[in-house]
Amino acid sequence: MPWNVGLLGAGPGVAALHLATLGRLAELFSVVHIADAGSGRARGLAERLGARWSVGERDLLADRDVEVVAVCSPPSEHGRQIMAAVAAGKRAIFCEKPLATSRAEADQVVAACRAAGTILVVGTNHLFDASWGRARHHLVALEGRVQAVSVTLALPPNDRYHRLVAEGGPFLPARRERPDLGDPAAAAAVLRQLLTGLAIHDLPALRDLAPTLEEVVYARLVPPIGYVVAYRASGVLVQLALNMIPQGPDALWRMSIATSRDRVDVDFPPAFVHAGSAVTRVRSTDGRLTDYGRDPEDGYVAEWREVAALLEGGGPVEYDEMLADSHYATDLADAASALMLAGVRA
Amino acid sequence: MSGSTRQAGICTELPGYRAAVAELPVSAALTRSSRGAVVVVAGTGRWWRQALAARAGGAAAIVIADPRNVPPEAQEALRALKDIQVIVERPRLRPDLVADAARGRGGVPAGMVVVECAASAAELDGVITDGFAWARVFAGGPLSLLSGSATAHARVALLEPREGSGPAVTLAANLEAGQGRGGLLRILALGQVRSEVTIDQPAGLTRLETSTEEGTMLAPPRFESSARLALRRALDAGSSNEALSDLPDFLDDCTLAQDLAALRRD
Repeated sequence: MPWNVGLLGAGPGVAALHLATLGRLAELFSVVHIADAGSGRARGLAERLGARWSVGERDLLADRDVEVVAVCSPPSEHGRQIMAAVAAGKRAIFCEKPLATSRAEADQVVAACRAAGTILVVGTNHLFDASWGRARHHLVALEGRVQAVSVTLALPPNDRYHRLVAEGGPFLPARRERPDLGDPAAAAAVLRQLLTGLAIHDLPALRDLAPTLEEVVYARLVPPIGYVVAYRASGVLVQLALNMIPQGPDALWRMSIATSRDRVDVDFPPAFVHAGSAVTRVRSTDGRLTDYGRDPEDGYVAEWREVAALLEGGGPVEYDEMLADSHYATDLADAASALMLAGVRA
Repeated sequence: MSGSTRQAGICTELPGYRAAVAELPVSAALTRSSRGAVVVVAGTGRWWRQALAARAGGAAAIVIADPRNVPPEAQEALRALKDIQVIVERPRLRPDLVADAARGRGGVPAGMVVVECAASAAELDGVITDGFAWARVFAGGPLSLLSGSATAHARVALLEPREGSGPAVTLAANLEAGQGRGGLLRILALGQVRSEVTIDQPAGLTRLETSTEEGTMLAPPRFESSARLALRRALDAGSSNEALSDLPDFLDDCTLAQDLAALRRD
């Protein structure tokens, strides 16, 4: 029997991502309830599936059929909703990234899940991508010392990809007031949001490679929407670059890991689509190039398979790893936004 | 010019340039005298002394072949070389590839430039210098170093256009083990048009991709040798009144690389 899922949130992440992903895993999961925060979107999504809908999380958490709660709301709601799901005795929680917005909140939700024995999985899909596992294996096998990492994102608007995996849009997130980037505090807050909303995809992998944050070297917003950030962690220099464009070429999402011996490029497919795993290329210093094939399954599917495996007793929940990943992300975002507020270091 | 033909004299002992002269049988011929000739200076050792000597010896033009870095104390004298055309042959910055890249963008400015470099200790400064050059090309003008950091094995840098507005430029460089045969240079000029330049000398790979919403265009391979291209440019420059910016551009790029190398290392 499939596990019954209740989704908290009815934005693009649900409409164009999780419903489509769960639809690929019908033997494992069944969506039985969707709740929105008052937008009215949940009804439209739920009716098509024959599921229930509601407003707010109370009814969904009280729904005895819901075994797995997927927290797909705005990040500021994640911590509170996880605590509520634990209190409601739910068996498992899938939380979209980020897990929490602060160290303290991450400590609280992980402690609550651990104490209650609630399964917790964070939707860091790149970490679940088979290609990242292959790249990490390669790095370990060759014993090359990681010296620098570069993560470059060039992203067109998401709705280009929403249209490929869903219909019945528009899949626009709730309209928000445009921040005044001339206000340093507002600009620093935007940088923090971008790091915890987009860079977060790769931060668990970066923590694997460079676990101890030492210093943010520079941090800057780049118009129209983007950033350049560099930091040093565990002696490794990490460069993060994001350029979001209103139109243009397809998404580029590349992590490039430079060691003393090799360079490992991991090119991820665009968000939302199910085009298989990332593609990995290894370049040796002598010029040899090795391309690894694309795995048919992507990280979105893999992360939900992980939920199913844990529900079936397939291994321990990695509470400590998720907590450390969350700390790493919030520490970096806090340090980068603080540095930006203080001005770019000369 | 030599003899009764319209061949220009090329003064060089470098095998690659002697081969290039053989590939220009109508317009060029080897000569032992630097006077009135295009003098090719190997860009190794204290090459700037040979360049200055060539000018003093009456060269018509100077080609500096694949120069490595140049120390700050030599820059002033080189910047004074304004009365002679100087072509700087930089195999990782071929003018034809630069032109292809510019043509591909169709005038659409880059919103951000990301540069990645990797090379052995002997080569890394040169690769970074050329990385800064490509960033300058995509940024549309000279750059200033804003911030950076270095470890014993890697460097990162943030740059912006020296004047006016333009894209942010970020560079990451990695030191590779071994002696190497050149290095790796990858430049991404991001925006509504995306240019990706990959020059991987150990792999023998030069690749320029230009991507738009319509798809990705791969620039054709350039089969002409870098030396022959440099000689052709020298011959063209001889009949032009327009001063080439190769040397001041190269010196600017070297200065940025030296500024980055001087950053604190932990």
